[in-house]
Amino acid sequence: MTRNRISQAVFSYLLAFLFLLGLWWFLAWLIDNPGFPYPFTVAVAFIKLFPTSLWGHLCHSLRRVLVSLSLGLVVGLPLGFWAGRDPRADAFLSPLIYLLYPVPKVAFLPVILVLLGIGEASKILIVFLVVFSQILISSRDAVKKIPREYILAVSSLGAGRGDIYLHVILPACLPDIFTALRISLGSAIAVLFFSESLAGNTGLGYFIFDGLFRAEYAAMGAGILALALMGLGLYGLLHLLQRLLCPWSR
Amino acid sequence: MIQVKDLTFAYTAAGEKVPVLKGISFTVQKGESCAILGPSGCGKTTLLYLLAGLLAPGEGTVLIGGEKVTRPSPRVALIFQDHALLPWKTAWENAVLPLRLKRQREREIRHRITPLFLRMGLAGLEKRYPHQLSGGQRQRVALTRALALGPEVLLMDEPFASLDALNREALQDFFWEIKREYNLTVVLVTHCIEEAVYMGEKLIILSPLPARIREIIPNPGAGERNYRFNQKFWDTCSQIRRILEEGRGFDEKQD
Repeated sequence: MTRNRISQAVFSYLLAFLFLLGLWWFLAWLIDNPGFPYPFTVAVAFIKLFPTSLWGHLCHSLRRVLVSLSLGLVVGLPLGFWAGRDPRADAFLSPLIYLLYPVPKVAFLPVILVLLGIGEASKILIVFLVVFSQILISSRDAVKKIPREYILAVSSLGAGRGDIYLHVILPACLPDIFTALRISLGSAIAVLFFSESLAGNTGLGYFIFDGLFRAEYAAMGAGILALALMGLGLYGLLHLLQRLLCPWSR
Repeated sequence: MIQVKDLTFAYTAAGEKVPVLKGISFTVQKGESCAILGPSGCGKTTLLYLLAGLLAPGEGTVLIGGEKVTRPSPRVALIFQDHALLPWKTAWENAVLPLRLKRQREREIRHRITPLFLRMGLAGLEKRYPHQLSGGQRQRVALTRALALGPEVLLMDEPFASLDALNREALQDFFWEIKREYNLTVVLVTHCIEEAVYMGEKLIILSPLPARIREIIPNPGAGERNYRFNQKFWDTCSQIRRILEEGRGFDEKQD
């Protein structure tokens, strides 16, 4: 990217940020309700609460999202690759996934809470269920659309099964895996927020609802800001990783 | 060098066998260039995959250098239609892939591929991805990759199909130079009559599906610098066109 294009992109993002800030301020002024605090009030609460309590809750939420996404990748990718390569595996897995995919996973949360309790396992499992099927379907479809010639070309050079995965299947699917992760990330944070607000006393979901119940709206706003920043940070991280790992698709 | 005996192959589609090749037999001498010509979809690519050991024949055998072909071998290189360069690897990474697969050391890889890269006129393009290269440059990267392991036989599937006329002719001349330099035995499949006549010292004409050999024509002038301007070139082209048209008429009557 040239320096000119970088400064143009920075300017666009700055403009969007200022616009959102202006909109927030305007709505706060228009609504004029303590439940919808001004940006400055929230910023002050954020700076005050971040080192004492907010940071800890952010770390809990971040860890849950990262563990769930990693588990989703570790389980979803191999199954997706298997279904994409082997029609018999696809014939077994696809109907299962198609039947389960439209069911909102968050509906299973009460069952999971009953079975696993209100600790880490239930929160990680529910987020995992959301991201896992997305990753499985995306990786399976990505494998299916790899031109046969790429695999034959590498096979004709004497590649073994492992080489085909390393040199063809994994890199061919990477851009689609990143897209799946980006799409999953939004759902993952939403489901995590819901599960944290419902059970336990850690995480940003808990922090936000705690602010609400204690009518500390500035603290609630600071929690929402932290959740938004976490989402933004993870989104940015995925973008950076994709640029680093998929330089050909820039 | 290459002996194909009674080769028969059928695909299985929706539980039914679709015959693709039937009783194909021919030989290609060491250092000879053979062009296989036939209508689109007649099984030319399948024949090439059988020679490369990527498919197993239903009946018959393929011998290369006296050895039965059962799987891909470093003695035989294949250039695919549209080159099949991996889009996520740079020109250099694509070219060195065969050596990486053989777990060669980085120094050995550089030692072997750098002169080949220069010979192909690719110096300076090492870091470019396939989509950043012209059709001719992609073809040269595919050729470098094919020659990386020092093969004796080069198989090519419609190698010049995606190029414009002038680039195609320039690259055909370049292939002849490389073929002589590396003393390669070449089998090329194409549906273009002029290309087959310029590239093949032996011309094998296939019938439509299921492909059988319709005719084998010796073409000793192939690859000579001015062959395209020679009357013999155009006479051979006309002869092939007649054979293909007669074949089509015959097939239409059969239908």
